[in-house]
Amino acid sequence: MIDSDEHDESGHITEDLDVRDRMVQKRLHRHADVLRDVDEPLVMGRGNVLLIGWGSSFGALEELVERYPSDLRLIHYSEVWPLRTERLLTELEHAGTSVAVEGNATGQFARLIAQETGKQVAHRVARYDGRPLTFAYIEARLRELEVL
Amino acid sequence: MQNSGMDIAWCPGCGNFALLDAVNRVLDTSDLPRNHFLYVSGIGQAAKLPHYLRGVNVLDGLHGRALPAAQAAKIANGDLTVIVHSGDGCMYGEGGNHLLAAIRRNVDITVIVHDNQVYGLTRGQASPTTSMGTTTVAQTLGVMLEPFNPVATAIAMDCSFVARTFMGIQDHLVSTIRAAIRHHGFALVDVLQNCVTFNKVNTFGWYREHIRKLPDDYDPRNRIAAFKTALQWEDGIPIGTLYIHERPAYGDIHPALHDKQPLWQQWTDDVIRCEPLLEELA
Repeated sequence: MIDSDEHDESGHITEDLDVRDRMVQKRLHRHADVLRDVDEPLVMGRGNVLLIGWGSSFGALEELVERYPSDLRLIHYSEVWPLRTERLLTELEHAGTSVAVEGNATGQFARLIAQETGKQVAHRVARYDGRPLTFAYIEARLRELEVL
Repeated sequence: MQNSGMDIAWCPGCGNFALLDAVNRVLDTSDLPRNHFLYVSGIGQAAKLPHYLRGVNVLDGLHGRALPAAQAAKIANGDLTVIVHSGDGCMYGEGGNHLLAAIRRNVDITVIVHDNQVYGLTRGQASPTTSMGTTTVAQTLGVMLEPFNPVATAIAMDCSFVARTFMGIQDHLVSTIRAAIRHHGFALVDVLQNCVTFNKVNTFGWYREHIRKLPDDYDPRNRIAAFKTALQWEDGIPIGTLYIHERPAYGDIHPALHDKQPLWQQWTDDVIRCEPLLEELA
């Protein structure tokens, strides 16, 4: 007996409100379990300007930090939810300034960080024409922001 | 009592009770024990039927998504008799795309659609088979869309077995369901049904007046004649086995399935065991 709708231990559909509440709580408890398994973000570079990235931007960001190791520092996420925040909070604390580098118009990851930590990332580099973030694109935007 | 012991959530007078009785009759007169059957449903009042059956296997999934699960189950274990029970909203609306793909695939499953021409669980909206002009709580100006014709669509797609029946005639209902299950290949049965609470147009009496049994000399293997028959509605609704086209089913022609060990027996160490994961997340 396998069911999709809210169901009890026997697998049968139930409208019982107490079962509903307990099952919602059970599902929410999994967040903590999953958080234990989530990968730590990767950190590299020695600079004062903290670049924050996630996903396929890694190649371009790594190249930038290797070219400007004493100016730039990178914290990069492969797994973004549940969000591991301990290292990020330390890095934001010690950075001179921070830049969220993302492939969307609205700064989704910067907003997620604000939601989860209360901290605002200072600047944003946004690419939203559907094409990959490149070394040249990011470098040009960082110069415009006068952080590089 | 034949049933599972759960409280039945249908209104007194619901057409689903007749369907439940018919299904129990088919199961009780089958050569196979009940645990050889897998009943798959979506969401709706019709989809609750498998929950009320004693002794069978049940997978009650998402609205409109009974067919992907049912086909997958049959492909993984050809020894199961897989039967889908869901409503017209679930199978022809939300799940319409799956119906088209499933007919083409011709997996050997049986699909019983409880067609009461309304979305009953959600209290009275027009469904794909509601007649044009009918007013409902949601379609206050009357339905402006041509209704979906499931039997004509199925015949147009050369569906292997297409039948229509009415839950008000027990013997016809039982024999049609039985024939559909026995049929080798994809079988679609559109069961006309009243919804005593939310469909005040297509009532039990309305169906009784409009249905017509097929003539004794009707040839279900003539596809053009079947299609013409399937288009009849206003001047009488034909019920019976409208179309049959026997041919090899998916499991007979797919090289990974034909004459091979059933997929579920091909367990390897690479397959992740679910039990520890389920315990951890419980």
